[in-house]
Amino acid sequence: MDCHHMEPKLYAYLQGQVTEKERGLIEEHLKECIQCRSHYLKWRELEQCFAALEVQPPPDFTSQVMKAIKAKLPQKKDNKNYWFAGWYRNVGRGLIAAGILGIFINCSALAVNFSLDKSLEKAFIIVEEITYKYKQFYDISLEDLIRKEKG
Amino acid sequence: MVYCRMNDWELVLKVLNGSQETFALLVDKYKNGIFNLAYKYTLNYPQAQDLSQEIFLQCYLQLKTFDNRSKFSTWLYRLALNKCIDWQRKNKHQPQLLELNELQNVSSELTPEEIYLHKERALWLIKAINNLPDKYREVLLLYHNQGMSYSEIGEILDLPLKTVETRIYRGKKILKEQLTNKEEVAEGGLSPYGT
Repeated sequence: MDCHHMEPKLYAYLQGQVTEKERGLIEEHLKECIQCRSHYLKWRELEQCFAALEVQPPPDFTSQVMKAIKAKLPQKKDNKNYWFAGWYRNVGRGLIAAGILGIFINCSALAVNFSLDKSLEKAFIIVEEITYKYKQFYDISLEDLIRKEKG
Repeated sequence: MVYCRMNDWELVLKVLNGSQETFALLVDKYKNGIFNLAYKYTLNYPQAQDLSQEIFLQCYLQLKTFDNRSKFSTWLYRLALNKCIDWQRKNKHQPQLLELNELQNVSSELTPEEIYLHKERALWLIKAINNLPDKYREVLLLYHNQGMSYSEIGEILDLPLKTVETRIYRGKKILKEQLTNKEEVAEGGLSPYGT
């Protein structure tokens, strides 16, 4: 085996990324070559350094995160709970709905006896009266202005 | 618990439907990876706590933008990495105060001397990684974070698989050379990790 190309192979060997045949050849070579053995030991030492680099988060880390989330976000009302919590709320809503429905039924019953022609006639009379009153008021005020200017 | 058998997408849907508590399951699942990533950028335990908390908070706020086109973990790590890079940019001039006792993953079977050596190695490595060019540092930090695969890293950083593989190898080769140089200095009587 050529020592010049051994470095990547030694790394792959350490990572378990070589074939059975390659592994046998590398192991044979390491027995014979001091330089490659030294390189291999350095690679191994580096891996041990990486293994030493692990830290553990504090045991209450998850609860701290959840607390931070709760503190950061405004507490939303859970729609599901808000609308369906408590049987008394449902009864109250039912009564209100029944009341509104009753009012609608009564109104529609009144509307049956209500003549459209008569109501239109009344509406026209009212509009006419209002128009007349405004006209009267406008005429009077205009006459006053002319009189004042002359005076 | 039924929720434990749910996949990430089902949990996300549950959170989006108003179950805020379900988000705790996602935090539990990814807290180690995210915390470790934040720690490697901040090099400070309380700051890593704040940063990883911020990452999860942002994840919660942006959860409605997750469309399940990629894996949830990929989406989360992409968000986390951007947040870490932002943090580093903002705190460029802040002195990094890494304490050896913050590194907790030490086997109880080791002697005090071995524990010290273990922590010293980690301290040297963190400093060495932080001096690497960004393109090597990002892949290395993700690769040595909860055993992330090349394809996952490729998805997060939007890089081809081969590029990820090459960058990891080259980044590690630089670190190995630095380690060798340190040991050569150590033969002159200094600590191999330069502390």
